[in-house]
Amino acid sequence: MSAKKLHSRVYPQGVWVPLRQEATIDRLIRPSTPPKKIVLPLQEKTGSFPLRPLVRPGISVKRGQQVAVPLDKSSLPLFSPVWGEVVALEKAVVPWSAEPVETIVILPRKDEPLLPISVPKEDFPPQELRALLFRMGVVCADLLLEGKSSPLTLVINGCELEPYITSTQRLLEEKTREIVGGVELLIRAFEAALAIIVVSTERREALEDIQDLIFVKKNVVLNVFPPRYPLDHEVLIRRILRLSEEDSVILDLPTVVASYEAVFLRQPFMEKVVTISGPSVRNPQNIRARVGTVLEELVNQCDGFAEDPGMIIMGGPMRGQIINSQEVPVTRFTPGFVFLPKRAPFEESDCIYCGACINYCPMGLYPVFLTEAIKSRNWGALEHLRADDCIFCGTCSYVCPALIPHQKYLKRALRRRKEE
Amino acid sequence: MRRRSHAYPPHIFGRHYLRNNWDLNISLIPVFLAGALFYGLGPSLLIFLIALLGAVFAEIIFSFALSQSFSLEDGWAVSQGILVALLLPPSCPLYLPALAAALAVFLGKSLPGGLGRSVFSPVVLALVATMILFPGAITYRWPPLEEVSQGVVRSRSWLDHFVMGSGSGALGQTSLLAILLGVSFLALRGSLNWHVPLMYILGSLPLLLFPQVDPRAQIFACDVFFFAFFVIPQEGKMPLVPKARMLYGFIAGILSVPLRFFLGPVSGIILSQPFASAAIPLLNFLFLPPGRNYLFKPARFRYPQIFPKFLKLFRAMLTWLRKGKKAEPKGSEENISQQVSEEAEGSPPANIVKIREIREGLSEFCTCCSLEKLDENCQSFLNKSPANGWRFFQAVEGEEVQGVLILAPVEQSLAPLEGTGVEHVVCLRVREEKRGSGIGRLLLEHALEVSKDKAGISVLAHRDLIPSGFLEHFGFQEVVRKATWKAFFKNFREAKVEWAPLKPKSRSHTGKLFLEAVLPAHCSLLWENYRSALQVASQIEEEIEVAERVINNPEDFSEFPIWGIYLNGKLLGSGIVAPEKLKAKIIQKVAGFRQKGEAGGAT
Repeated sequence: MSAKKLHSRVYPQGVWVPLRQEATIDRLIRPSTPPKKIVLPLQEKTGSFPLRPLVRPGISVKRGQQVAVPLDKSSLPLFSPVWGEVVALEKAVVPWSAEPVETIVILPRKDEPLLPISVPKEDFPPQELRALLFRMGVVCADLLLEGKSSPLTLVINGCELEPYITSTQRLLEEKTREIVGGVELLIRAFEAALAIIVVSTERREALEDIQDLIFVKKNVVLNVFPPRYPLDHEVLIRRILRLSEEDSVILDLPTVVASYEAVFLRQPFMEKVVTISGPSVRNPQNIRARVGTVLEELVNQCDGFAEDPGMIIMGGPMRGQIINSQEVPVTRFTPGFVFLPKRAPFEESDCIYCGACINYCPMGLYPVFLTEAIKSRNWGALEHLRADDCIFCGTCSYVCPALIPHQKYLKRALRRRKEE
Repeated sequence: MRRRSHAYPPHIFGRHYLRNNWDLNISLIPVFLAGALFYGLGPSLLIFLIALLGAVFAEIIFSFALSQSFSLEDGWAVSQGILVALLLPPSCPLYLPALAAALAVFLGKSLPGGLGRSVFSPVVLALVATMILFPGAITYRWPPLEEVSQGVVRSRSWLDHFVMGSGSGALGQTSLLAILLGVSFLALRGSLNWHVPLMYILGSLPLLLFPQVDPRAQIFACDVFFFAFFVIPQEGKMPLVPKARMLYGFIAGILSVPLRFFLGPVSGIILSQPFASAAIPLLNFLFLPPGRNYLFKPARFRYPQIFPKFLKLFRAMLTWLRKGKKAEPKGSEENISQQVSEEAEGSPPANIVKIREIREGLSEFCTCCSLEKLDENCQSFLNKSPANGWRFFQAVEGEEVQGVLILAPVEQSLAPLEGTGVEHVVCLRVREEKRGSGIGRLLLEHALEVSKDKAGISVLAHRDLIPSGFLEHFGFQEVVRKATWKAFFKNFREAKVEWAPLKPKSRSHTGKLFLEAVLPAHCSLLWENYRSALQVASQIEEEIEVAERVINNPEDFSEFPIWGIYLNGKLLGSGIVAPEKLKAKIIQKVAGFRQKGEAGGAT
């Protein structure tokens, strides 16, 4: 059965998750103060291959100097965001990896300008542009272009549907020119026929700015999604835009801005806009932080906590990950940190068969029956119920009135199956 | 029940989906007030309160008795009480509301085993049951449309009917205005389920085509509206998908037409719901896309606690009946004990097993018997000589050694029964594939015979590692439960047993729960216990990490935990318990942490 037949509606029914962006949405991105310590983990994502360090303790590094080299295409080169001295090369615990990850610890000496990089010629052929983007640690285009057919469509994912997180939205409003320039650049680099900028905002000023800039351009289109969770997911974006895996590449907005800065300003990807928000933070805001800044310093820049945070979430509350300490460094893939107050423990109760999870599931799955099958250890039924189609958006757990964590059960079951 | 793990996203929840029942309760208040205005505040309030209390008490009692989850805070029981009160005539005897409300809770939730288990509306089931149990107690008088006052027939206007109803039947079915008020409240709160009511009303319209029927009586009797908006669209008593819900409402509406025509307004409508509910599985089947037929296989259902109790009682009766012949071990579910009991009836092991005592050549005691795990525990005892009162037995089948038993005077053993003059079974091992064939029984019987002249015999064993009923069969009694282990280790220290160091795992994970253990390599009993603890821990939570800490200093053994829960190196709880208790304890600890919020705090 084709996806089209299964989902006849254009927009799948999502949930209006209260976005709670009021605290940070109107505030300008603040440049961060010079960090006291930089921690660069050599594995930045779950599952990526660890980098090989180019430095050893005792060596002094410059801002923009490459400190680690990738061994395959799944990871990107790493740059020192400060002038300073490498203090240690030690193992540290990071939330995205089960095992301790090797990190480079740099103590900054003083804040000095960027290391001048030799400027190559202006007009790049696509091949060189791709190589440059990879060299600057922005994106590995060759990896994304594997197995793609032409004409290629480039989708820029500017949706922001995680509550409290506004970093993408602020980039959209403040860096409009850079975004449009970056999109043009990426079209050339990816040799794409069309670029679609997808946003989920309802703020008209931002939309009009982009609209003005792309008005004359024929190969850039703006598409506004309703702000319903989880329409920002890649699978759903592809379905809504009627694209397939083979003819489209989806990039997120920070990558676009970084690619602009990498090519036109010769600045490697070593600064990331991070949202520090949540009811527990005294002065929530977006900070343009150096990659490797420890979370504790960012919190101090936001005047600390108004109350004791019970939960620290890396990423948004819908898909993020709970972290236990504030020693976590910012990476190139961190959208933000949310601090929520303590929550009373609660229990899941029996299913009342209200059908909410079925009606809200964007993939048309049946979470009730999946959970039932898992609880009765009916593993054969998982395939039958298309458990592999699940995109782990968590909508079923969010809407369940009986507070049954459907997503947790499915994740565990799939992980167990993988282990077997 | 399982606690929700904080580690999995999403970390926020749409709690507003939970308010449905309370919204329903609030929206029923204007309906009740209209009834109270019409029938008088006193009797209606009495019925209302009696039904409410009946439902709440029934919920508490049945949930407790059947160990089901409470539905008080989500407002379900309260809503059932209110609905029952509003569906009863105000003239009914006062025991009826309580009874009907209790029946609604019992038939709708407790008996099926949960809220979502039954497709029938609890209230409707309760009313039908009361109608059958007490025929004539519930009478919905069909009132005249015209009021006869002082000999003058005064016909009422449409507006009168709209506001005050036609005064028929039940407490809650007086005023259409009140019902619409409640419905609009539901709609404002966003918890109105419009699919079913709309189609129900549409489906019940054909009744107006009959010439015998007065449309005003049918419309303003409000029973259709009350049922369509409050009784039928209950969560879990509907199909799962909107389309199927609409069809379900329509079927119920159509069914209500002949039933109302022949049975009268209220009872006809009451009966229309169960008939339509029977179609819910079929509607689900039709409207969920094909290839999911598995859905309608009944879910695995565990009846709470009653069934095992009955089983236990039954087995106890069986034992009691057999007791005339011979003493039996207590019944249990394990195969091993059954085998033991079979042998106790008189069937000896297949081959002849001999038991011999060994006085010399103890160094070969272990090697010759080639028992896998024996050497871990027993080799340390082999330094003892028979001169000190130690005795070594082997069970030999043919030429092969199948089991070992070591007896020691209690002063030299590890058990906390010093000075009693009893003998202590230091080691009782049977080869794994021969377990359950009665060799252990023979060995122990032999040991009992040998030590007849002594004060008695003691066995130190862990409850999970021996077949239940095995020791009781010989007349052993449980003496110490908890204190055993401390004494055990105390004596171990004095005996100066060497502890083999184990390779420790790295403990660099901070902020996680650790199940930590010190492993005495020589004690296979503890080793097995530790393994089972690890298994239990790995079943419960991902956050629980396991670390093996080794203490080489014998001074530390006095406060030696077989397992301990650690957070960031701080000991939070320890002890020695059975796996089930360990599980409960770990869950409790984890929950306790989260409550304190320490798990999220900085280290």
